[in-house]
Amino acid sequence: MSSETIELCEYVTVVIDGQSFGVPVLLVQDVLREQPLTHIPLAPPEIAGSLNLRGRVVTAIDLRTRLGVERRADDLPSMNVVVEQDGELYSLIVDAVGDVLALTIETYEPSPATLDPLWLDLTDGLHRLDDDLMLILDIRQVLGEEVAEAA
Amino acid sequence: MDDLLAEFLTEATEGIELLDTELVDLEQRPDDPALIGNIFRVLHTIKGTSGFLDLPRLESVAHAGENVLGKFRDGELKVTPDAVGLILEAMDRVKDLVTSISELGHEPAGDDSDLIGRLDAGMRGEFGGTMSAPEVEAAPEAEVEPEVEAETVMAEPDEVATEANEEAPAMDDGRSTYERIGGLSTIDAICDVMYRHVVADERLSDIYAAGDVDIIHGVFQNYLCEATGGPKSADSYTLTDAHAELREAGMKDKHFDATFAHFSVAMAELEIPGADMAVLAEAFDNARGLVLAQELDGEVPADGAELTEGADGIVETAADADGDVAEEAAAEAAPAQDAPVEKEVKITPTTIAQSLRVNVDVLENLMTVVSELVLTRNQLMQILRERNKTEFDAPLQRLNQVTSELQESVMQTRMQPIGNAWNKLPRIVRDISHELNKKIELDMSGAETELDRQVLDQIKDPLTHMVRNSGDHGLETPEERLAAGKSETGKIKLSARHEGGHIIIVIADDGKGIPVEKIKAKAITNGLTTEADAENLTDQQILQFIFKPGFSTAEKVTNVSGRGVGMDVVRTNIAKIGGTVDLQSVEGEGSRFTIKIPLTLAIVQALIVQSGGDRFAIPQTAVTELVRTSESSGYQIERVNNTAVLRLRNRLLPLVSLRELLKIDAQEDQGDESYVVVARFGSYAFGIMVDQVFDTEEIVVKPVARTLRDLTLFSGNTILGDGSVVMILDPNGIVTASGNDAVDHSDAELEARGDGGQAETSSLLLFRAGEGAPKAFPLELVARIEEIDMAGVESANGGPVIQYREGLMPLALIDGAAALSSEGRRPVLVFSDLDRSLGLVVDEIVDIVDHNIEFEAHGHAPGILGSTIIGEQATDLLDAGHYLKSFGGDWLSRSKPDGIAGDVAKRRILLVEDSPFFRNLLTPLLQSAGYEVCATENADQALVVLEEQPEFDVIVSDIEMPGMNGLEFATKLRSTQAWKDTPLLALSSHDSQQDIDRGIEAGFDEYIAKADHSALIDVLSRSANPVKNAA
Repeated sequence: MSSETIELCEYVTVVIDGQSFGVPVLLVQDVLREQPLTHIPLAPPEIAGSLNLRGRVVTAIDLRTRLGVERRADDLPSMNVVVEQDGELYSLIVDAVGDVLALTIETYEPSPATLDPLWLDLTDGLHRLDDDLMLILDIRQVLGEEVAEAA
Repeated sequence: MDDLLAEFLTEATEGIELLDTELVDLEQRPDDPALIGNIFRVLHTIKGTSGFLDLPRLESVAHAGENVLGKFRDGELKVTPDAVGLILEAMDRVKDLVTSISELGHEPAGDDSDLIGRLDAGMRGEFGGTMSAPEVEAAPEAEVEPEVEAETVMAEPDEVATEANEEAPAMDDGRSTYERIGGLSTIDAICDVMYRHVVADERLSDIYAAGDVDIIHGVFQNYLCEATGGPKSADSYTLTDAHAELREAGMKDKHFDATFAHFSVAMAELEIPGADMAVLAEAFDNARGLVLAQELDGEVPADGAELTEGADGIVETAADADGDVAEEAAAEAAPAQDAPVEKEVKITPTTIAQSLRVNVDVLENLMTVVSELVLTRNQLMQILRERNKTEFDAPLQRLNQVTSELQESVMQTRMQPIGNAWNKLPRIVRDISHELNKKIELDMSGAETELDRQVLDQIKDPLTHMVRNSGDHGLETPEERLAAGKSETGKIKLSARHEGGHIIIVIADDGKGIPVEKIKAKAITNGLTTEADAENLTDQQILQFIFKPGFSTAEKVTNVSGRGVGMDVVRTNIAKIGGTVDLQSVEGEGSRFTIKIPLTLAIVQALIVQSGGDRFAIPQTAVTELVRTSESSGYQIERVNNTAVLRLRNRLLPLVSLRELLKIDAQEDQGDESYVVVARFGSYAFGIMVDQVFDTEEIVVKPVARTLRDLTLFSGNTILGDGSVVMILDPNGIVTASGNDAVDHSDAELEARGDGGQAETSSLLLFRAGEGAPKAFPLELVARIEEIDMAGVESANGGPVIQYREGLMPLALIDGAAALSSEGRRPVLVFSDLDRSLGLVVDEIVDIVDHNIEFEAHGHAPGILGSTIIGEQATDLLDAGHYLKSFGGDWLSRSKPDGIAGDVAKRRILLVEDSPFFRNLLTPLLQSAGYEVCATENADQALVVLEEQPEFDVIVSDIEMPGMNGLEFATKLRSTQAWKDTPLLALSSHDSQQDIDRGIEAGFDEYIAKADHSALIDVLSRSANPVKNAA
C-alpha cells in the first residue's frame, strides 16, 4: 500500500496478543464470531483451516501464528475478520475486534525500524492513538508472503 | 436450417458485434496491432467456417478482407483512413450476408466482385482507387443504418406498420431508394423470399422449373439494384436473356402477375417502407416488358398512370400492415406443398434468439446463492425433523423440492457435454478430406464428458483449429501414407476424460509428425531463437516453437488451416482458462496434443471419507470399489517390510495410509483405517486406507486459495450439504506423493502399446486347480493335454508316475489341486523334452484364450509369475520353470546323459529381454525345446555375460529395451570379432516390414514377433544347428 492512500483511511481495529492492529475497512467483507474450521492437512502452520461463508470457501489465517506470537490459549475466544484479496476470501483470526476508526495522515508514523523484521514486513506504519499505538496491517503482505513462502 | 449453420450464424453475429466498437476504435488508433489481430481473427473464423458450410460469397469476401488485414498485421501495409474504410465496407458486407443468411436460411445470390476487386487492390496497396470510389464511402453508411432498423423490425413485427408509415415522409433526404432500403442485401432478401414463394406456387413452379432460378434470381436482383439507383452490375446477363427460358416455358401475363404478387408479399414480409415499396414495385413492373417482350403485343401497355395506380395500391396494402397482403401470401403459400421451406424461414430468427448467452459471472453468482439456499433449506429440514407434525411440514416439503430442482437447473445451465463442441468436427474433417484429397477417419470418444459451459466455449475454437491442423498438416496423402507403410486412411483420435480434477482432451493423429528440423530452421528464420541456442534445445523444446505467435509451418497457405493464427491462439485460449497444452510428436508416427483443463467450475460425484477426524472428498471417477477389511471379512491388510498391501482377488494392491500421507495425528477412537478405497489412476490401481466411508455426494469443485495451490494432494475444495468445507483429494497427487513413480511409466507404456496396435498376446491354457482364481500356462509350453485314469497311477522313485507312451511319466500336482485319488479321471498337462514327458495334474481344463499379456500384479507366491484379468476374472499365470524344477531340480538337463548320444551337446542361447514376464515365459519354453538358456535383463548385462562366457550358439534379443536397445546391441555385436557371425534373432512386438528392415539392417539374422513362440522355436532349430555343426 502506498503512502498516498493512507491520507485518510478507515480501519477496523483488531487485537492480537494485546497489540492493536488496523485492517483497512474497504478490504473487510465480514466480521464473524468463532467459526468451525476445516483442518487442511499439510498446509503452512498459519493456515488455520477453511470455513464456509455463504457458500464461498474462506481460507482462515491465524494472525497469531502469522505474527509469530504465542498460540492462543484454548479458552480464549477468537474472531474472524474476512477480507477479500484478488477475488479470494481470507479470514484473519484475531483475539478481538474493536471499533472502526477514521484516521488521517496527522497521526501516521512509519513503523519503527527496530521493530521485529517479521512485523516490519507485515505492517505498513502505525497510527498514534490517544491511548494506544495501532499498527497498520499490510494485508497483501500478510496473505502474499505465504504465496511466496509456499511457492 | 441445420444446427451447424445456426451455430455459425450466432457465432459470426457475436463476433461481428464485438467488432463493431473495435472497428470504430481502429479509425482512432489505426496502429493498434491487437485491434487488427482481433478483426483478423473474426474474419478468419468466418472465412474458415463459411467455406465448410458452402457459403461462397461470405467466404470470398472474408478471405479478401483477411488478406488486407494480414498485410496490416505484418506491417506490410500502412493503415490509412481509406484502408479502414475499405475494411469497414468488407465487414458491413459480411454483416449483411450473415443477416441475409439468417433470414433466408441460405446465402443470397449476388455479386461481390466489385468489393473483392477493391480489397485485392487494397492488398496491393491501392486504396480508394478509381474503381467506384464514391460508393466506397457511401455504401457502408447506407447499409449499416437501415440494417439496425431491419433488426428491430424483425424482432417486433407489430410495430412494423407504424414504422413503415413514419418512414414514408422521410423520402426526400436525397438518398436513392437503393440506399434507403438497405442496399443490395435488402433487394437480395426480397428476391429470395419472392423466389421461394414462386417455386412453392403450383401455378408457377412448372415455368420456373425450366430456368435456373439462381441465375434468374441474380440477374433480377441486379436489375432491381440499378432501377432503384444502386450501383450498376458488371454482369453481362440481361433480364431478357435470363428470362428467355421462362418465356419458352410459357410465361404469360398472368404468371407475371402472380410473380408480382409474390414480390409484393416479399416486400411486405421484409417490412420495406411504403414509399420505397412503391418504387420497387414500379421497377418490377417495368421488367414486365423485358421479360415478356415478345408477347407484349400492346396487351398490357406500360402505361404510367396504371403503374402509379398499381403502385399506390400496393402502398396502401402494405400500409395496413400484415393484413391483406399477409393473408394473401398465406393463402397463396398454403396450397403449395413446400410447407417445410415456409417453416424454415419462420424458425430462423428464433434459432438465434433462443441461444441467449449469459455472462458466466451471473451464473457463478446464481450458483453461490443457490448453494446458500440449499444450506438454509437443510438447516430448516433439520429443525423440522426434531419436531413432530407442524403446519410447516407441507410447505417446507415443497420448498425442499423446489430448491432441489432449482439447484439442479442452475448446475445444468453450466454443464455441457464436450460433444457439443465436437458436433461440427466430423463435417469439418470430411470437408478437409475432400478438399485435400486425403482419407481421414475421425475417432471420438468421451463425448459425454461434461465440462463447464465457459470452459467449453473457450475450448471449442482451439479444438477445431487443432483438428483442422491435424488433418491439414499432420496427415499425409493416401499415396504418402502407403509409401510410408501405413494404411491409406489417416486417423485423428479425439478423446476426453476426467482425470485428477482435470479434463484431459487428447487430439492424436497417426500422420507424419512434426518435423523438428524444419521447426528449428523456421524458428531461427523467424528470429524466435538463434542457431547457437537452438543447438542446445531438445526436440521437445523445439516443438514448443509452434505455439509462438506468428509461427506457421505450412509451406503454402491453404484454405484449411490458415496462416499462423493457429497454435499461438490455441495456446492463449487454453491458458485463459488455466489449462495447458502438451505436444508429443514422433516423426513418421504422428503427433499428439494433450490439453489439460482444470475442473475449476465442474461438478463431480465424490465419495466422502474420513481420516483421523477430518473429512475428504475423493472424486468418484477415480474410485473403483470399497473394501472393508477385518479379520472376519476375508480381506486383511498385510505388511511387506512395513508397506501395507491388500490381497484382492488374487492381486496385490499397494495401499496408502491417508493419515500418514496427510500427516494427520489421529486419536485412539478415530478408527483404525480399516476401510480401503480402491482407486485407479491411469492404469495404476492402489488402495487408500481411511477410517470411515460416508455417502457419495455431488459436489461443486472450487479452487483452493492461492496460498494452498502447491498442495498437490488436493485438487480443490468444496462445501458439503451440511455446510462444512472439505478438501478434495487428487488421486494423481496421492500417487505421486506416495512415491510411486512407476505410474507415469506404466501409463506411457500402456499407451505406447495401444498406439502401436501390437499388443503382446499369447495363447493361454486356462484351468482350475483348487480354490480361487483360474490358473494359466502359456499354451506353447504344453505339449499335450491328456486325461488319465487315476487307477493307473503308480509310485516309483518316490513320486507318482503313470505309464505313458511306452515309458514312465512322472506326475506332479499343481499347487492347490485336489490330491491324487485312486479312481476317476483327471486332466493332465503333458510337458515334453526330447523323449521324456512329465505331467502336471489339474482339476479341470477351462479354456484356451488369446490374451494380451499384461501384468496386473506381480507374483506373490512361488510358482506364480503374476496375475492378469482374463474375461473379467483374475487369473494367475503360473511359472512353468518352477514346476519343471519340482521334478527333481535338473529334470530338464537329466535328459542329457541318457539321451541320444552325440547330438545333444546342449545348444546355448543368450536371451536378452527386459520384461521379467517374457523372460520367465521364454526361458522354460526354450529349455523345454532343448536349449540351455542364459537370460539377461538388458544389453549391457548381456555384453558382460558374453565377455565372460564366450560360448553361445544363438543370441535372442528384444528390440525395445531401456538403455541400449536391441538395434544398438546388434550393431555393437556385429562390430566385434567374436560375435560377428553368431546367429542373432530379434524379438519384438512391432513386426511391420519397416521394423523388420531396420532390424536386419542392424545385423539381426531373423526378426520374430514376440508372441509367435512357435516361429521362434522353428527359427532357432534352423539357425542353431548349422552353427553347432560348424563349431
